[in-house]
Amino acid sequence: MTIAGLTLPDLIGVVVGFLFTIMIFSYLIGDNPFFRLALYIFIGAATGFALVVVAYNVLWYQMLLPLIQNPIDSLYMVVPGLILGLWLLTKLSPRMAPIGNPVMGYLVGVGAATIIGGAVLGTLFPQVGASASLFDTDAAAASGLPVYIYIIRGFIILAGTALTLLYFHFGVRQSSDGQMRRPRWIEELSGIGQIFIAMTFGVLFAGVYSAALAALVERMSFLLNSVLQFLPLG
Amino acid sequence: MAEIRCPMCSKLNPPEAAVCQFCQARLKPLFVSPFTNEGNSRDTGKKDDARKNQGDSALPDWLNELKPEDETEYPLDEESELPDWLSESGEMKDEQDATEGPEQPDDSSGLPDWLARIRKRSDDDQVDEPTKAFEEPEAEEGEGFEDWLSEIGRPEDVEKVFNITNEESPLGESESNESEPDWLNRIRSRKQEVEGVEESTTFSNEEEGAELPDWISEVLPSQSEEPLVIEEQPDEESSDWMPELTTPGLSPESNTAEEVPDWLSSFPSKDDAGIEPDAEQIPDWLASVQSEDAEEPTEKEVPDWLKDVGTSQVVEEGQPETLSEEQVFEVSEMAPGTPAWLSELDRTSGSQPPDISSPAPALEDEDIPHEDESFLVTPDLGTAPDWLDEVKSEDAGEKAPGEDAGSEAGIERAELPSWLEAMRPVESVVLSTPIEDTTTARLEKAGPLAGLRGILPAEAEIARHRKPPTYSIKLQVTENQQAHIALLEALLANEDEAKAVPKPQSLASQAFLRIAVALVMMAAVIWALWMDGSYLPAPSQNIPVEVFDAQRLILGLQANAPVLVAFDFEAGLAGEMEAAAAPVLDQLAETNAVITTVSTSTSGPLLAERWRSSYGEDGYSRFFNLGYIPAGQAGLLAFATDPRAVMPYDLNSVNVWDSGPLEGVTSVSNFSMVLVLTDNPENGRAWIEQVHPLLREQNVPLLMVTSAKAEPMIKPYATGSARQVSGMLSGFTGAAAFESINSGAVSSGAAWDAFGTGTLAAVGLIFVGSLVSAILAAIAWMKQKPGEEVI
Repeated sequence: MTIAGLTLPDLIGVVVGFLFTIMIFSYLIGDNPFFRLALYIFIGAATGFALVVVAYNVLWYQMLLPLIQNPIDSLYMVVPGLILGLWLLTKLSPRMAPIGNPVMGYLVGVGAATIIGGAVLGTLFPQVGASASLFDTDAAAASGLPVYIYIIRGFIILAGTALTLLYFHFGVRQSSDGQMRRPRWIEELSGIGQIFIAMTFGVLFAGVYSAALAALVERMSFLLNSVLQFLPLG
Repeated sequence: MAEIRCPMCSKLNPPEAAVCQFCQARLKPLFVSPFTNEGNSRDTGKKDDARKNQGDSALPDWLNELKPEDETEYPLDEESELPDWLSESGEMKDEQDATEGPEQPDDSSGLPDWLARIRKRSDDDQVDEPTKAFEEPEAEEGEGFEDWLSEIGRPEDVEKVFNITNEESPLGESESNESEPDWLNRIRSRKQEVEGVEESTTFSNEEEGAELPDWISEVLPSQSEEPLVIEEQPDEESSDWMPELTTPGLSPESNTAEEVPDWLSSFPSKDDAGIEPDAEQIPDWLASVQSEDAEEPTEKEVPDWLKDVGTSQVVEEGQPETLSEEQVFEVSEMAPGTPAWLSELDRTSGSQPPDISSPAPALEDEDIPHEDESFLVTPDLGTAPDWLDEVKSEDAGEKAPGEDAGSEAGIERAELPSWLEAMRPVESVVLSTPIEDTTTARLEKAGPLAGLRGILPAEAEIARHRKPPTYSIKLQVTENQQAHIALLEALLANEDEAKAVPKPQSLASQAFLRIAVALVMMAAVIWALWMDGSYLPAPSQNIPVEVFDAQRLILGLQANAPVLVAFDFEAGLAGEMEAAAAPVLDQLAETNAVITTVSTSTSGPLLAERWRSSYGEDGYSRFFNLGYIPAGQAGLLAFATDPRAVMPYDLNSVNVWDSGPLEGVTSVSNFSMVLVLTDNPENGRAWIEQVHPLLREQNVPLLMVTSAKAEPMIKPYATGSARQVSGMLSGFTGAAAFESINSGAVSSGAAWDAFGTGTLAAVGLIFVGSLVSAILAAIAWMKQKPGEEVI
């Protein structure tokens, strides 16, 4: 059965979606029960879906099903994980929580190592190298930009980075009048750093606004299409 | 007359003083102590023998006449107040001289002869019945008879003993005077009678018996065992204590010649004019003992102590006289040198000697410091002391008997008797008792000491019935307190008033502004969507290099190349991400790439499935959805290292690794391309940090389609020398740019127009708002007063 070219599931989805969209937009007039209802339903649905995904996709498909279908091959992969997972369940009880400390320690250690290694090797070193190559004329040629433009851009990037970091320097010393304040040159340069910080915040705001606008456009388009779809406007 | 030295504090007092002015010790004993100075503890050896000798010589003549060798006759006035018993001392002395020979001079101890004889006599004679001699007199004979008098014997005996005539006065032939008191006469007569009478003393008091003076020993009848009753004659000027020395039987009213000895009856009473012995001859201590029988003493002969006392009252027989309040305060003027306590009774005390003839000024109520006179209740004096009875006001015209300036001037200073001298304390130990000024002390109004000041209360404080002080229930508030109250009230009143805070000027409320902006934006978007036109051109300039690289890399994929696509964005931003990722995914689908989707978020697999189903009519077939990668970056690293182990099956429970396009894929680097769709910069960084090192080994490009809000954080990875991200698209703009370089046009023109229109509306709103804010700030700045801050 189709209604306006939509099957029943689609129709239900359209209607539900339309209603929930309106309910979310009702926040414009202030906090209201409709908004809260939609919010609670979304949270519940998201949580339930996540639970299903974890249970179905991880526990079943990644641990139990391989162990059932191919126990020998998946033994070394599944069994340790399964044991550690069950061991971690002891953290649920305050009295048995100390028992799960080794597993928790293993998880924290592995996670920290992964993060630290990735941050150092994946971000710190490459970005430092990239900052150092701001004045590389060879890279300027590869970028297609004039060299002087490349150099100027490099200086701007370098100044912005340095001044931004200088703004967060809060070391003070006692001045001649007895007050504790930062050195004058730091105080002056940190002002310029504030400009770069403000510009950064502006860019971030613009990105957030763009994302929100895009979401608005998409929702408005949905609503409009839904209305037009059911209205006999020809 | 020599000054009297107080035996307690060793200070000199006027001869007339009966009590010490400093320590209130009695100077003139009430009775003659039979003790001698011999063996007295007070005798510290500082006796001056010469002084004693001098004292003997300084004794009044009448006392000297008591001594056998003293040939001088004691000039005794008829009207002298010398008591009979004292006047008899001369008789006794003569008698003793007759029996024992001439009087021996004072021995080295300094005792007078008469006293020595008494001692000797007491040693010789044993007191058989010591108590009998000092039995209290019978009731009919009066009460309160002093023991010392009782030693003398019964009143009748005493009368006999002391019944002397003027001619036979033991003091020798006194000056015959018409005013010679009777008692003196009796003493003289008695002297005659006593001559030859066996001397016997019946001193029952052994302590005193050894030291009785001669005259006492002569007086005491040996046969008599009955107490001696001394006749008491009323005398207006007799001291108050005099009645205590007498028995009721000695009251003037009940005075009988048979019962009261003459010497005692000769005490001046209140009725008498007062018998005043010669002031020069009578010692002070003796002068204090007034005879009730004494006639009205002349002004010359009235002793000082008697003057001090003032008028006396008749003591009724057996009845303690209730002293009225007026009587208490009616005391005559005091002579100089009177005790301080006695002087205070006279509120007109001054330099003048007290006038005993004139009534003492009564203490009026106004002198009494009190707030409420209701508590001034005259205490009912039930048992007033006898000496108080003696005090009463006299006529103003009358003068105290014996008061005479001339007599005062002619009175010899009494010489300190030797026995008294012996009692004198050590001179080296000077007891200096400060004189207590009791003029402002509490006035006693009850008890026998009523009228006196500076004494302990007679009755307990609790017994005093007085009205409790009344306190006003009204709160007494001073002016200063009222001022403070007013100030505090003003402060409290201001507490309720909110401080005026300057409100910032605003055009509209926050709700109105919010709704207005929302309506504007929605209107712009809806209008653009409604128009469904492509009025906004696709971006063709200023296209980022990353977009070009992305396009280049996608177009360079081989057919059926395995591409790993990560759907790491949330469902809430699906509208943007789907719009931004659509051109790239469509481009990949056109190349028949084997799209394998994974996700590090739980909603990723669902979104991936949503895209697959929306592509075309039947969806995209070369699609494998591996599902959700757990454990965050660790799981991502594990997947990147061994995707088969981490994701052995897809969501359809199919093992995609054993067959199919993913059969040869053992690592993430085996994919032709990795495309990450994320709206979270953290997820993007995680893919870059964990996956790119493995991709870099195989030069596998990593493309990223990010949300506009994540672009600033991911952009550094896509630019620079490192170029960890090979290509990058961000939001609607990136997608439009990608479509522009691919096809020269944007496929979703309406959305692009709506996005553009919304952006323009936002820019317009920001501009207008900034302009208004600037104008308002400028106006406020111009209105700003010096020192104020513009809010």
